[in-house]
Amino acid sequence: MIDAILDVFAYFLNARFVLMVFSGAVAGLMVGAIPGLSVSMATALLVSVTYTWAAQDALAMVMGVYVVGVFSGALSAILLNIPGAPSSVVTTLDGYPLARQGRARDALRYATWYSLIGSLFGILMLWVLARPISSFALRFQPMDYFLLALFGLTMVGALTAHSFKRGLISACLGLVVSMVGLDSVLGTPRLTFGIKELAAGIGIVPVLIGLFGFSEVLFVLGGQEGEGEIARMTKSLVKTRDLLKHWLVSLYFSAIGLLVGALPGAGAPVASFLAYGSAKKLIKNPSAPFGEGAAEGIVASESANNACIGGALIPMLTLAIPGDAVTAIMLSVFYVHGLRPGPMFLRQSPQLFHSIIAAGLLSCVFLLLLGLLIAPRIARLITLPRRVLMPLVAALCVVGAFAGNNRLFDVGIMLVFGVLGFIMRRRDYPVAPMTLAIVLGGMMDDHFRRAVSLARPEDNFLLAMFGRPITLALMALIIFVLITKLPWVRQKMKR
Amino acid sequence: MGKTKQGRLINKASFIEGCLFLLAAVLLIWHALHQHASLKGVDWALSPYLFPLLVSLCLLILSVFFILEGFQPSEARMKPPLRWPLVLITLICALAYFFLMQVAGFVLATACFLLAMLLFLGERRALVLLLLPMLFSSALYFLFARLLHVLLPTSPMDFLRQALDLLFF
Amino acid sequence: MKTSLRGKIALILLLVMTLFAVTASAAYPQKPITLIVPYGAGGTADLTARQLAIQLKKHLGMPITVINQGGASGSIGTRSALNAPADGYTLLLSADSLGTQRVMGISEMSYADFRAITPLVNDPKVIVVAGDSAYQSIEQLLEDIKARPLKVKMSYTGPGGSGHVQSLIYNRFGLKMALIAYPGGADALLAVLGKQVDFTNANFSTIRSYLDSGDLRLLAISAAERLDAFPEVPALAEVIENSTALMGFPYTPLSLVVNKAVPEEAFLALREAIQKALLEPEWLAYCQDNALDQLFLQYQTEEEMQRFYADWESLVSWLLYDAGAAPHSPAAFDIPRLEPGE
Repeated sequence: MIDAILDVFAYFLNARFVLMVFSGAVAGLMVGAIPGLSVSMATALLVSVTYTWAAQDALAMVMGVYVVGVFSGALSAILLNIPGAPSSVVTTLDGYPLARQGRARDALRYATWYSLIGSLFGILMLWVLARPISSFALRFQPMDYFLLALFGLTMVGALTAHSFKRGLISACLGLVVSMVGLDSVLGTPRLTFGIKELAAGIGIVPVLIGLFGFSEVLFVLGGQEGEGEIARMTKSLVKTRDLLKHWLVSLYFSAIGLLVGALPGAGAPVASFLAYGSAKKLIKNPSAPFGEGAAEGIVASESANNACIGGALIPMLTLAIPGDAVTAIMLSVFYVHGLRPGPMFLRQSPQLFHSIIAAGLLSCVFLLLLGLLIAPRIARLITLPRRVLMPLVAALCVVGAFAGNNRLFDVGIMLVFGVLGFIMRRRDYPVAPMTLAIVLGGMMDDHFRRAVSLARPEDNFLLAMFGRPITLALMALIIFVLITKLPWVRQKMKR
Repeated sequence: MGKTKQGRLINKASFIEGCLFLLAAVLLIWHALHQHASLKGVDWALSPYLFPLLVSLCLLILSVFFILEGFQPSEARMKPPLRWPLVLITLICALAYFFLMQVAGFVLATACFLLAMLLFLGERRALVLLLLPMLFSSALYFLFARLLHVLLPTSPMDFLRQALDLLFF
Repeated sequence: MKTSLRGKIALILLLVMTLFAVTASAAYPQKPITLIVPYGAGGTADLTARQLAIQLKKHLGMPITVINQGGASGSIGTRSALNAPADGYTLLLSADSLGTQRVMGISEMSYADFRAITPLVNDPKVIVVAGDSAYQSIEQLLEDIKARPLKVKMSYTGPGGSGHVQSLIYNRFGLKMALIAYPGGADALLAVLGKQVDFTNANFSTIRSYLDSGDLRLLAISAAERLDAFPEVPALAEVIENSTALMGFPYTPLSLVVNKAVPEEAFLALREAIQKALLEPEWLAYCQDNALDQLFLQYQTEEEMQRFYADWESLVSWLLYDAGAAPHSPAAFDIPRLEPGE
């Protein structure tokens, strides 16, 4: 045990290793903060550059990109209302209102500190509990994945709108959008209307940029608030001690992030939505109402989505099953270097495992440094006058939508969803449930069909479908959420 | 308006939206059933149209709630009035940008779009009008095309890009 | 303070830039090449592609980025390879399902839309169950399948995929399983580990470390002969009577292909590079480690390759059609009937 700890911290003294993590962290800050550049894109690029290097160096850099990249998605989410990746969607809900109140720097400090706590928690748990958590993840059956995603969607409907049905219909429409493209089992084109480009499906990044970023440009420019800047920055800042007072509850959010992150395919967006949901239940007196700039919302979202990093690495290292898009690419870093993640990995290559842990911990250090030193400087961006900033954001939306697949078609998608997002916001439909539904739709479809075909050969169809503890628990949760939202139940509860 | 008038259509927007959702749901159900029937020999458990059917049923149920909302005061919060001309101009500029990119290449099109937007939004400082579009489009070009190998649209007309290539490479 | 910080930022930017910078050369290839794997990360196709990319880079001088586009029996990734510009910068690592997509009604694509640079390897198929499964031997499993037709569950990678073809071969000998589709080989394995299904027909290279850890148990090799690495595990041809001819064919060939409209110059450059790359010691070691049949040694000229793909397409397409699994007759696509061993 002591050997392992020494082994990990020895990397902190290895200048080359530290430099690798640092360069990764800086690249992560860049790609995370710029809409349209994603952590998975950067990792994929790194794989093609680093395969002549030693495995340790390559992994050090990738970990830097991963940890800091997930955090810095919060930057554009808070400052511009554009989540760089689905995992940052929840951060926009309270982060952006807070920035508009002139407290962008506070919002960023919350994001930095709680991303740090989430990341640290996730990586330490990866170190200590990798095996038990992976056997927990193995217990989830297709039906449970489906229900978990459904739970995420009902939560999101409940959370982001004062009107439950508006949230649900937004999620429903998102599911319809997610069906566009070739279906994953038979490859039948669905809802493509004969358009060739639609066969590959509607990409989530152009949709995110459109729904949040471009619609925001239209919204701000059409608003009556005059010519000035988006927000002045207040001078006063929250004291660091006050800022950190949520540490205990943030560990709970981190645990949610860790467990959901460890389930392949569910990932950070679900985790941050669930954490936000429980924050709303747990914290009775937030600093501002949720959705209008509650710091607690940022705490929940950021600690959960960063804890997902450690979580997603667990099935990747112990089962060779990637938990999300980034770990899928990391898996290839392993293969490129002739390494075999899988059940024997932790036993056969402890040094390499320790170097991943060390790189993760070092990335946390750089996350804090970059978050506290660089982020406030980037925050000055929003003090630019509207008439200058908004055209720049619009151009960034266009190039960001294009970059993922090098397709002009995606720019068209971005514009369409920009207009849709604008209309939805005018009519008070929340856009967040739609994005989560688009992210999860394919997986829900897949798992639901699989669950049906798994239950088919059994003698008792219903028992095979629902008769397991995890499934029953998830069903109970979903029914609970739905019932408590029914109008007459709410009236009774108020009495 | 004061008190709610029962049984009267007082909230047209929600009613119309509800009808649209209903229409979408019905179309989707019809589409799913029709397409499933055309896949010969595919079991419902494997059918690509099982999930669409499920979702469209949810949509159907929800749309009824929206139609009912038409007879009650709206849950939607009022939004401040809008300067529609500016929204339309922005949209037209963005569309023009989208098409110009394919003809004139990325760097030139971006500079033109920024210039046009700045002018429409009332920026009059000559230095800003001249420098900002040039610098920002060059910066995007370097970051995306040069550094990250994004294949931004090119065109022989794009003299800005050619100038950049000459200057720096 | 301020200037030093700016200096630092500039330095960092410079550092990142040098990391990403790639120098350009004159002839093909002039830019990085994309290699599409139409399956998820971690399967044999993926592993092979990654290994190949490394070796190929040595002889092409350009990085080769491997992209996973899984789903729909490989047709999604295959389609995007076909839709990409035919300039030789998009390669496809095709698995076997390309030959069956037309008869399966998955797509109208086939080997004929592509030009093979080379066949690569054939990954032996094996039957595995969970480490603590009740099935101790292949005989027990086969008996149970016979006793309870359509009840014993097997995970596979979707209609028309290699697992499906395997299951149809088993069908011919009176073995009927309940088939459960998963998006990739790794997910199909996970289903066995998580006890969702009873067994799976996996590629040998993907299960090796699970055998070492005891999480999986190897029951049989789905071929005519045993593997050198596991001489005590029986081949299916020994257990099932009269199955030698059907079991002996390489059913899961992986090939490197490009759009057939790619310019001759690029094609020849690729072919030349690959022939050198396949002789690299690291590549040979990779094949050895994973017990892969080296198909590229057997089919070297273009005529031999074409013949191989034609035979494969014919054998498997008719197998699928005769079993009622394929909705379209191979005859509709002018695929002649061929029996194994001919």
